[in-house]
Amino acid sequence: MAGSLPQQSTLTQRLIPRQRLAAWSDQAQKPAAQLADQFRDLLDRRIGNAQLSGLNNIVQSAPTFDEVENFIKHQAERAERAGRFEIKEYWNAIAQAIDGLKVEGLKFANEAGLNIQPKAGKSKEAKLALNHIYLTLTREYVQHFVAHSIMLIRLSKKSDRRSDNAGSRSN
Amino acid sequence: MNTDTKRHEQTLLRVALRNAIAQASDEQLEQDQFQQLAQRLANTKLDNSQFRNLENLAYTTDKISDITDLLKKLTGRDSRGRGWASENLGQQVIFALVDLRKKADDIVKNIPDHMRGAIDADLPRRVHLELCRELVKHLTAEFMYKKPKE
Repeated sequence: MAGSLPQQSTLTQRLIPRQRLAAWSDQAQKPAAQLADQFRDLLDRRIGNAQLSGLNNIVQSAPTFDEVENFIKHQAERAERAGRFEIKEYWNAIAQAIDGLKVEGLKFANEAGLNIQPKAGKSKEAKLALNHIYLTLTREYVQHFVAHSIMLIRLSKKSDRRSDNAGSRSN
Repeated sequence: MNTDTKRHEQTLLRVALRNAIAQASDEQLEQDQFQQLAQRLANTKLDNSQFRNLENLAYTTDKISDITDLLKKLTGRDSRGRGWASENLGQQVIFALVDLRKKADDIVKNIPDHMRGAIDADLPRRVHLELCRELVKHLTAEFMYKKPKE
């Protein structure tokens, strides 16, 4: 029952020991940065600091994992309606990466002794615990993804300036 | 292995690691590359508060990625390119931090056999974090020392 669950911070510590989460998060930084690198060309031109900060704010403040999933799905749908298919692909890739965290989440849940099978029916308490684990992992992943993307935007602006200068010199 | 022996082994390991990290930390300071990086940072428009924030974070977090994420964000927000984004300095500090993993692995690899029972899989990462803290501490001190007073 939701009411019998402890406060979030205590819950996080019970479900994912601090050191274990730190180790996981440090490992997750590389794939998150690689995903950002993959969409380097879209950054700044199509995806700016505002969108990235928006994503980070939503993820860090969302009370449930479902809310994060809905937000990303909504962004992809909006992009599709506007005919911006590159952007749709971007949001879908984020959705897919976050969905991939569920496998890790299940590992954490089982390490915490919840003994949850991937395809079996889950009790309300197990669902709540899983949702909390997914959200915790997503917050870490998105923090890495957004930080790397923000840096890439700055670097792309610098290289644009350099090529502009080279162009004006050659003209 | 009984509890007393295990505790003794852990104490020995702690002391050995502290010594190895201290030695690595002193070696960092002597490297030309480090001194040059500190000097170039001192030549930017960065101020003491940014380094204090970085140092505070390094000593309160248990994730290396938190330190590098902060540097990435600071680099990204440097719209005028006079601070962390100047001459890719933010990225160079990130590379220097990431590169410390090799040293951390060496330290763990060289732990004497009679202490190896106390090693866990996450130890190299924690040693790496300690080395990152040392580097950030030295960079902060060198920056403040080298920064021209206005």
